[in-house]
Amino acid sequence: MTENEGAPKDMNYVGAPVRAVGLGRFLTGNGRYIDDLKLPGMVYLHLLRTPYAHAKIRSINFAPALEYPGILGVWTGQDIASDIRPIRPVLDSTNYQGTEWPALAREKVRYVGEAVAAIVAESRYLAEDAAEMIMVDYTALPALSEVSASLNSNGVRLHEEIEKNIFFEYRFETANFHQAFQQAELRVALEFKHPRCAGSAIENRGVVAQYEPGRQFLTLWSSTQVPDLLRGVLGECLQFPVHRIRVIVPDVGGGFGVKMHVYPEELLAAFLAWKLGRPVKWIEDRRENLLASTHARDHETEAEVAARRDGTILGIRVRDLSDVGAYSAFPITCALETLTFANSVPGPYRVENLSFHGMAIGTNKCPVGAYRGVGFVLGPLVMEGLIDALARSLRMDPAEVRRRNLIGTVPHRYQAPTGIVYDGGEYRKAFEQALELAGYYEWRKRQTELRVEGRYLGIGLATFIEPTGMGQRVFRHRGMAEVPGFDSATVRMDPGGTVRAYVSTPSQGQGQETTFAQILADELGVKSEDVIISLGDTETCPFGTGTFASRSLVSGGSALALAAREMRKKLLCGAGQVLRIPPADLEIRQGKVWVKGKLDSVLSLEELTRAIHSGLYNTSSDNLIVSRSFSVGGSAVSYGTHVVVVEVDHETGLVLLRQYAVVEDCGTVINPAVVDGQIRGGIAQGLGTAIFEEVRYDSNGQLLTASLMDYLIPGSLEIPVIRIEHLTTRSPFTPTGGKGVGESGTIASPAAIACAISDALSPFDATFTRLPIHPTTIVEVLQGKCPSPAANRVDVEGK
Amino acid sequence: MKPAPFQYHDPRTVDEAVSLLDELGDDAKVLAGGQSLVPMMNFRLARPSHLVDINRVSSLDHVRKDNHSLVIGALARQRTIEFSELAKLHNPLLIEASHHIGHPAIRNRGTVCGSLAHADPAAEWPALALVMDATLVAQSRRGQRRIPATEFFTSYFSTCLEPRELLVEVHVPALPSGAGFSFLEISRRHGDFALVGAAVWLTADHSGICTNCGIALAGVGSCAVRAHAAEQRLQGERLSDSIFAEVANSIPEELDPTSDLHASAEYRRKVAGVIVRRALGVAAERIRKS
Repeated sequence: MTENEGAPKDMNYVGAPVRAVGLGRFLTGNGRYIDDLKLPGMVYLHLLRTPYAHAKIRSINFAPALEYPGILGVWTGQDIASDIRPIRPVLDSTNYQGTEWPALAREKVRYVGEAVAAIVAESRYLAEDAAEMIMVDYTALPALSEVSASLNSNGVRLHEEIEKNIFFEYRFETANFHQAFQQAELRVALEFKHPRCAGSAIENRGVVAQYEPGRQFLTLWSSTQVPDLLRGVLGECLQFPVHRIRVIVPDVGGGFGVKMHVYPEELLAAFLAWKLGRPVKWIEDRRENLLASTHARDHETEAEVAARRDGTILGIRVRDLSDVGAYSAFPITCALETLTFANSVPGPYRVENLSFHGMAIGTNKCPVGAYRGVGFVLGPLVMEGLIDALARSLRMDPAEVRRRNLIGTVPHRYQAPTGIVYDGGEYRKAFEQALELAGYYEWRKRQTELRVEGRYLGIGLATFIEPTGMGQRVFRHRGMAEVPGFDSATVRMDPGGTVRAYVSTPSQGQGQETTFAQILADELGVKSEDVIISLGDTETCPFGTGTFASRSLVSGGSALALAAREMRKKLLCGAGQVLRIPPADLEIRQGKVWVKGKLDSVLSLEELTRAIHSGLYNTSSDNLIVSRSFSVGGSAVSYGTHVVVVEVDHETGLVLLRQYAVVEDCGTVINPAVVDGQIRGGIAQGLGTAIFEEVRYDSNGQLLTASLMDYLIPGSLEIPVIRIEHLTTRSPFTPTGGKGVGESGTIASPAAIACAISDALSPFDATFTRLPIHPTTIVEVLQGKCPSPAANRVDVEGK
Repeated sequence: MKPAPFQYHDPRTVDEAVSLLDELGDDAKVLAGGQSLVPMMNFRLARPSHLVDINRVSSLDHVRKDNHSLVIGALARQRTIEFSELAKLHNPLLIEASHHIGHPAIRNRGTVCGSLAHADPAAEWPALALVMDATLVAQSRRGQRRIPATEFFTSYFSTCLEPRELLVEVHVPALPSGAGFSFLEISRRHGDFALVGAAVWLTADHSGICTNCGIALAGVGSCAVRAHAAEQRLQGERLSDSIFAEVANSIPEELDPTSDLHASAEYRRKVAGVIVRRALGVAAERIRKS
């Protein structure tokens, strides 16, 4: 039996651009975010953060701060050492060295912005004033401000127990790799840089904690993406019984992976609320966000392609160093970037031979965590960059080289050399359709015409795969012991015939309230307005992994579909007993029960639930509640192609995006408005990576980009018109046929834009593979004042 | 990001405001639009003990024509100039430049005089004041003094304004009749401070010979810069692409920019020449079309 059997035939809502549930609430300013929460007696937490990248703490004198008006107390790392255990995520791998991330630094600080003291006051203003009165005596240590410093540190260690500051190492090589490289007719090597990024949400992080002494009960409101995992960590680190902890996620203004980690502030707020007996609020400001919410990516990569002269790729070799900062983030650890990069290298290209060596190096910088696209962004950046260099070297059309290497139509599944199984689909068709949608060959003509006028158009192509909703098998394989991999849903009939569903994947604004309602309404045969979706409350929602890695539809949505199907069966069975008609002769549509083939409905769901709940009929369905869990086998893999046309002003280095086209396949599209919104938002962030965003530190480990005037996020005026078309190959791995779509925009766009800029400036023999591509870099490269990363071509002798 | 404690003052007249400044001296800051001051206070980079809020001094909220100048009061918002009929008629260069100032929300609050007094070298208004030979009027309890724009700006975020003085208005001469003009700016994103900005105007006789011109640059040094050498090179020459290129080539030598996260000094120097050339081209085109 496949998972798709039993799906209703009369789908009404799935596939329609149903207007977002909650839209009115957000547009009229009635959303309820963390900072909107005000509890009686609430006090405010502020953290004193260190200005040192690496230093020993000799002493902390906070006595003067205690005298300041409105101060309830000050705590240091020593004070809480026995109360709050450090966050210590586990990875089952012999090549991993774990770190302990304390809620407040103890003997030493390891990055600028690490918290050294917690101040609680009657207002945030008073707390910030008092923080200035705390005197911390530091002994500075050499700052390991970049990977090379950490690797050649002369014995300076970030963590005493980790030699050489190497946190994680991963090697992967296919059996015939060396043979393939030897058989090649030529090899082209390039270096790449992906900047350190900050996955910036409109709403920063925040937490409110409340302890009820009577019930001995702790409630934490957090903007977290993973309420169940947070609850577990709270219990463990505070040594507080988990069954007496409730985590609630209110409306959240964007997560992007940064909010899937458990942070010191959550532990501190909970502990201090418990200790003080008053609700404690902490709202992150933008400076703290840029200083101390996880950063992402930060790779220096060398890669090489081995090929035949007809453009056929025989193998890829990648050597990667990623700078993961001072600590491993819970739950995915510092291995995340390296492992996902390794898995993304071949993308939708038939690359049979692969060699990957990656190292995650600790430095005195903010810890690196997840950010939309994770290491999957590196795959296209490297592959598409190498393919363009190969095409240029062979004087072939870059589209033709891609065509030659793309996997074509995959009937059921394709096993990549990385071990990842791709869903069936038409990988080459997506590519060809994208070329057509963008008008690729017309732009090539226009490019030639404009060059005569001294104008430089460039066309960038990037294909991608997006493994989404990773299941239990993936996380066990990666050794990520603290990520369950499944999600759950509970469907419950209300007495009035309406339906309520609780799903373990909370929303950060992606529209799950809408898409889940569409799935539930169709599966159950009810109107979507009779459905309420509840998310983000450990007290009511069943246990699950949470929302990240494009998993809420794949994992939570699937669990919901399965629970709804079971509920439908239950309702039909109950209706059969009430009506004395065999359930097989009944169906549910539009919130009513019908006898198949008859024109009039016989019973509304309201009447049916009332009848069942009345107990008069002695049905076997009196308990109208169903829970189901779901984990996709490996992952549901979306794929597609981005085509971007840029114009580069060669005198000023400014890049204008003139056109953007996407053709992609994320399986069944539940709501096209939501799906296209995800793609557009992802491209906006990828554009940031390509030309704007970079977290910069100086050689002393001081953060140089501590405000949004220096860390540049693209605004609406920078985003081009994006045209999107969909192929829809139902995923065989999910009950709805849907696949995740949260990250593809971010995965493909940096590569597409970088390739387009290099393409535009190819008359100058310039290649741009180090992101973000800065106007200064463009101008200086074109003036010959700064070297362009040269593609190093080697022709193999005798071939 | 909460400001350090401060005392708030709310004067209703210029006299009250300058009396407060006189009394408080160095410890006071004037609050008008607050678009730069308030973020700096929230970062605790600025920590005035006293804030003198002039938003209720209604006599400062004006834009008027006086002889050959637009007179812009200390409470006139940047958005007011952007939509001002007087500016449209007498100095459309100011309107063109206004579009580059932040975003509408910023222009709705930010004031012209506030931008001048803040003296960010990458902002638009200091360059406009220089290129138009504006006169700034400062008032204290001891009376008024008129300061030419060329003397007003002294260094990064520094002016010759005394702590006890309030910048009450700026007089911006109208563009000469028939002048061509252009404001061009290179910034990494829409609304960012200029990596380099150029404000130019020029006049020509019937045979296309440049009779007068102004060229000023933003973002290329510790203050906005008037490119005198380039102006002199252009005067008396027939307007043409080749003379613009020649003038532009001399621009980098006149400048001493610095490097920051957003652009190198070398970039600023080179691109300043590029946008002056382009701006002169636009200005000349406007003369031809008028």
